[in-house]
Amino acid sequence: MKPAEQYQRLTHSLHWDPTYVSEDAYIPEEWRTACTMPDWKKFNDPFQILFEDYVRIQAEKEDKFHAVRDAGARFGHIGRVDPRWVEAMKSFNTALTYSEYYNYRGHVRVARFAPAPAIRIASMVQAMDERRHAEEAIYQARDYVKHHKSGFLLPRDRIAFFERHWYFQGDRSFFEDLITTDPIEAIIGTNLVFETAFTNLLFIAAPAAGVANGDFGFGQAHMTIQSDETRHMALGQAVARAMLQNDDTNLELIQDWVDKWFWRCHRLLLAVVGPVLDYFPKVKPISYREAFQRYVVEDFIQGYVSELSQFGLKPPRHLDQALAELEHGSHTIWRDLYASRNSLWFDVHQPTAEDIEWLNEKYPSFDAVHGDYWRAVADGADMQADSLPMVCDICHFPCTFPEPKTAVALPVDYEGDRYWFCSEGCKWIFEREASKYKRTIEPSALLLGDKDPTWIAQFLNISPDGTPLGGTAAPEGYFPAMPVPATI
Amino acid sequence: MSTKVQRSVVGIELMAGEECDAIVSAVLDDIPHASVVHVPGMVQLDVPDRLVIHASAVENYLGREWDTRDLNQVVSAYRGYFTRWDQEQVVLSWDADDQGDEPHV
Repeated sequence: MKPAEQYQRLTHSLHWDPTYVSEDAYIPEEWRTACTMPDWKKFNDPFQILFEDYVRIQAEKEDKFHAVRDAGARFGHIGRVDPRWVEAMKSFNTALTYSEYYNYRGHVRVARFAPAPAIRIASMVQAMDERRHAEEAIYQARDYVKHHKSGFLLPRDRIAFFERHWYFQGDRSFFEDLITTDPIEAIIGTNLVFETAFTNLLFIAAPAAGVANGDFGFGQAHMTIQSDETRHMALGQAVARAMLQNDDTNLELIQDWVDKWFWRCHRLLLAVVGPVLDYFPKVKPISYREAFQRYVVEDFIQGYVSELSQFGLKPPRHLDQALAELEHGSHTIWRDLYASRNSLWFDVHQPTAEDIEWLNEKYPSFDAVHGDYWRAVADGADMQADSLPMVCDICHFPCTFPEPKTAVALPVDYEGDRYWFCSEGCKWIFEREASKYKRTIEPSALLLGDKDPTWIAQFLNISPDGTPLGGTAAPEGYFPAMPVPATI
Repeated sequence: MSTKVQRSVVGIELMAGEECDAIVSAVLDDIPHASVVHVPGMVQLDVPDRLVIHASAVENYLGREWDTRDLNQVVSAYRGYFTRWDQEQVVLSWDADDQGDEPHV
């Protein structure tokens, strides 16, 4: 049988329209896409991957990854990774492990509820990819725990940071939002915007920095992760194209989703990957701004978005604001991290003279805006934050952008509550879907008022000197009694 | 120059190694002015407008059979659309209908 015929059997021939149950029982309304297509069965995934090929190719990728890990342990590379890079991994691995797992959950859902058989098969495969990525991140953590003297922790021992520390709430809220969307929005948000425009910053620019600092396992893991993303990107591009080409009523939705996820990705990556490229590593092969220029501006905006403009798609609504933030974003977030360094499990260092020289070269206004801060630190200023930062009600990062002196905080009143946003982009996202984002339990807001340092230490599950205790114990009275919905 | 995009460059970023070297050499035979940039662990290959990888040319450089499906093992990022990916050719182009070259001899 030819591959094309096999693929037809795997996708279209396995599809049937339900007759014993109603459409509502088959795909509940909240999981049904608002996009329309004359015939969803006609949509084809450009990769048309067959399960047997998938298994063979992925098995080889895994073999290569584990070969590099083995070599790293056998010949001692892991123990010699530059300590500053390992601190980057403490932060990055915390964000990544859970994010990949969230994405796995999201794609399992798309594989169930997407309207096109080809999207369902591609998403099922993608769910397995995301699961593999999460597991690679866990293996990496294990290697550091075993072979590097840096106090690395397994994910189970630092979950309280991901769940509760302000720095990781941006990541957590991003993925919780992404996996609770319309299934086609999930594809546009994940495959088109996040994976086509932004994950190259994570999985190519960051591994280049890792390799430059001796972390070959990270390099190998992330290059193979990104090789899975090539399949995901192709799906996202094909879905966007098909939606725009086949029914012009889809344009407004696709545009809104591109606008929303562009801003959410920009904020998340600036805050989480910015420091991994600009601050943590001793050897820095590429700045966050340069990587953004290459992958986001040149590839995504001047490539894909401009190609799709023939169907009416416009560049993301808040592109100019994103570009304007690049000059200061990573410096601003590093200052916030430095001020919170006693409640983090990774080391946030004071930039060295070489770091400052590099930062000045890559970011011309660095000295004028951030120079005095680090000179004060060099002169002995403590710069410890005495409270937790005020965070944005959409992205959950501090309202600290573009830079602390000119920080923006925009209010919106909704159903009797006041909400605050760090930017026009986040405010727009809230106003578009306020009922989705209205306030739930949010650690930083709860902690802002009257909590003492002992309570905060207990909350983050760290000892008073900042050592993580592991597990997820919370202080007495933190979780309010909530009724459990009868449907769960 | 494709008129469909603002910046008509396509390209792939490959994990450095034997397959990467063979693919880059095969492409350079057809497009001698392609941009090849080495970064830690990777090679970035960029060309104007469109890129065609002929399996036969890659096999010549590798000295063994090469299945184009295995390109997925070494490509970590790309710009452009994959408009054809079969046993003979892999085509990356900004023209969504680009069906590749006449067969190589």
